[in-house]
Amino acid sequence: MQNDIPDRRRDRGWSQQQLADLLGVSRQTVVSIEKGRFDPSLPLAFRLAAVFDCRIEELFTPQTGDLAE
Amino acid sequence: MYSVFDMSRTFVIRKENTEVNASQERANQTRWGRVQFGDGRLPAMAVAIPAGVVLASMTGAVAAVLGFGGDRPWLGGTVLACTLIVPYVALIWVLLVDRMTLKGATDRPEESIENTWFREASSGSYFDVIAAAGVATAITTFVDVDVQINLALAAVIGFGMISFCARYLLISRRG
Repeated sequence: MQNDIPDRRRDRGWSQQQLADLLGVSRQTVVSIEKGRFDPSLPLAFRLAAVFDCRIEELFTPQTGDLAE
Repeated sequence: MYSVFDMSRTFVIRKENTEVNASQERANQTRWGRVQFGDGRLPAMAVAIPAGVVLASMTGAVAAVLGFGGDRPWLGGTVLACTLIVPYVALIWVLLVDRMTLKGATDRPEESIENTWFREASSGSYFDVIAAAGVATAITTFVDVDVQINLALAAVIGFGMISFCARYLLISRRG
């Protein structure tokens, strides 16, 4: 799943470790989410949206194959 | 109705608390962690090492009394106690340590990617063990191999552990 978390994080001047601490997960989790290699659980996605003060669908963009036809 | 907006407001308060708590918790985190002891906390190794030494000594003494080591039971008991110190210390540490006090521990380990890696490696190694046991069973059906059951079970456990470690390493490298 594509996302713009790295840009939003940098806009706020946070390091990956600071974001991980806010979310209560490991830094590696943030690294993998930012690279699109790991789809977060729904509760974690809600916390991410809350951190960046936006909606989940503004953060994540599903790839074409992920959408139902 | 609980909306993202409500969650955001809650989060701002929580975020401020979290930043303070996180730094406090991180200051309490050590390489070997701590154990809850009464109202306070002690370094885990300060408990595990003496307890492991005492337990190993007791095991060695019991073995000596029971005649372990043939005509030199106390030498046998001492050697046994020495070899058991490290496993006992490790076992006691694993059982007692508060995992939240270990360096790098997170509030929500179940939502971290390491948990996903663990689950993937576990399920993969489970099928590896099943497949290996199936192949071994097929081979021993046609080839007459005399293997002690305790060695066979130890081999199964060892294979499972190696498979898990290899899979976890590969998955974590892949990210």
